[in-house]
Amino acid sequence: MAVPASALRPAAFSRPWELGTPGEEYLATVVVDAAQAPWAVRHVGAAAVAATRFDGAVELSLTVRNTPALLNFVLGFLDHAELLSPPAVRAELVAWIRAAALRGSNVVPT
Amino acid sequence: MAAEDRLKRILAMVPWIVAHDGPTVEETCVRFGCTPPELMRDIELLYLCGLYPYTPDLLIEASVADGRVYVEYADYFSRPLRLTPGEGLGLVAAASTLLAAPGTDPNGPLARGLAKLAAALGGEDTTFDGTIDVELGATDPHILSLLRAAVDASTQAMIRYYSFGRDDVDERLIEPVSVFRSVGEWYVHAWCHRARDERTFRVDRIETAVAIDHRRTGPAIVPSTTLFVRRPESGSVVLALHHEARWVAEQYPVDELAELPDGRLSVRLSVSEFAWLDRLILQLGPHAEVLEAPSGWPDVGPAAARVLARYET
Repeated sequence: MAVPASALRPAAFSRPWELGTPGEEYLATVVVDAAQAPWAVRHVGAAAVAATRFDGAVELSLTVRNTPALLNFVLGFLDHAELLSPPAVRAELVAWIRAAALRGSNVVPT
Repeated sequence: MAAEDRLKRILAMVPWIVAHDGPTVEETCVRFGCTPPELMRDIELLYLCGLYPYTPDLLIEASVADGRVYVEYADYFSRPLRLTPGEGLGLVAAASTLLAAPGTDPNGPLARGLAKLAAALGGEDTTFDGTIDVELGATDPHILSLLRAAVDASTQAMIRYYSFGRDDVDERLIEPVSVFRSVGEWYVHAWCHRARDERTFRVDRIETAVAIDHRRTGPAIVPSTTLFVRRPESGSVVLALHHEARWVAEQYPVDELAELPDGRLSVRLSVSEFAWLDRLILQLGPHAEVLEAPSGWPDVGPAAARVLARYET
C-alpha cells in the first residue's frame, strides 16, 4: 500500500494563505519569474497555474483567506515575483515593503 | 521555551498525569522539568483544548487542587478511532517523537498505545505491506539518481544551483557523500570545490547536474544531515519581533532570545548571506525592527527598492 506524502503533511502547511475565515476568500494572481517557477509551482500545486508566459514565467491563481501569509509568500521570491491583483492587496504589499524598509534602516552595525 | 518544545511537554504530560491519578504539582514539575508557574500555564491551556463546538463534553478537564494535578479526558477519547493507514502512520511517527520528550514514561500509556497502533499497521491491517511511497515533488528523479550514483561510486558532479541564501545561480563542482530527506525536502551533502568546504544543497534547487567520471579529490568528510551550520564568517542580526512575527523564533536557530519591556521579542540570528536577511526583513514587513545589523549589510533598502521597482512601472 502506498501512503502519499500528502497524508503526512497537510497541504495547508505549505499554503498558509488559505487558512482563514471561510467565505472571506478572494483570488490573487501572482507572476513568478521562470527561474523560480518550478519551486513556486511545487509549493502551490500545478492546479494553481493559470498561465505560462512565453519566457517561462508562471501566473498563479491563489485562493487567499490570510493576506499577511500571501505577502510573506510573494516576498519570499524577492524581486522574482509580483502580485498582480487584486489592486487593493497589491497596494497593501507596497506599503508593507515600505514599512519593512523603514524598520530595516538606520540600525547599528554589530 | 519554544512553542514546539512546550507542546511536546504538554502532550507527554497529559497521559502521565491521567495514569497517575492526581500526581502532586512538585513531582509533575520534577518529572517534566518545568516550574510550577509553567505547569499552571500548561494546565490553563489544556482546559481550552477540545473539539468544535467546545461544549463541556468535548473539552479536556484539567485542574489543580490541594497541590495535585488532575486531567480527565473528554468523552471523544473513549470513542474508537477509525484511522486510515496514512493517518495511522502519521500518528506513529508523531508519537515516536513524543516518546523521546523528557519525562515520558517508556512503559506508560503513550508507549503502549503506540505499540498497539504500530502492530495494527504492520500486522493485522492487511492493506499495509510495510512499504511507503515517497513523493519527490519537484525534485528531478534523474538528478536524484545521478547524485546517489556519485555517492556510491565516490565520483564528482557538476551542478547548476540556485542559492536561496544569496539569491543567485552558479555552477559548482561537488563530491556528494550522502543524499537524505529532511522536513519534506531532499538534500545532498557534499564537498564543494567552489567553497572549498562541505556544503548541503537542496536537490530541488539544482537546475542541472552532470556526472563527472573523476574520483573524489577533496578531503574525506563525514556525511551529515544538519541543515544549518554556523560558520566563523557568519555575522548576526538582532530583531525585535511583534506578536505576528514570533514565528521567526520557531523557524530559525536562535542564538539569543529575550522578552522586551514593550512586549516584543528580541532574537539574535546568525546571518551567513545578506540576501537571506533581506528576504526575511521584507517578509516581516511592519512586524519586525532591526535593532542590530550584521557588519557590512547595506540595510534592506536596496532589496526593497528592487522589489518596489516591479510595482512602480
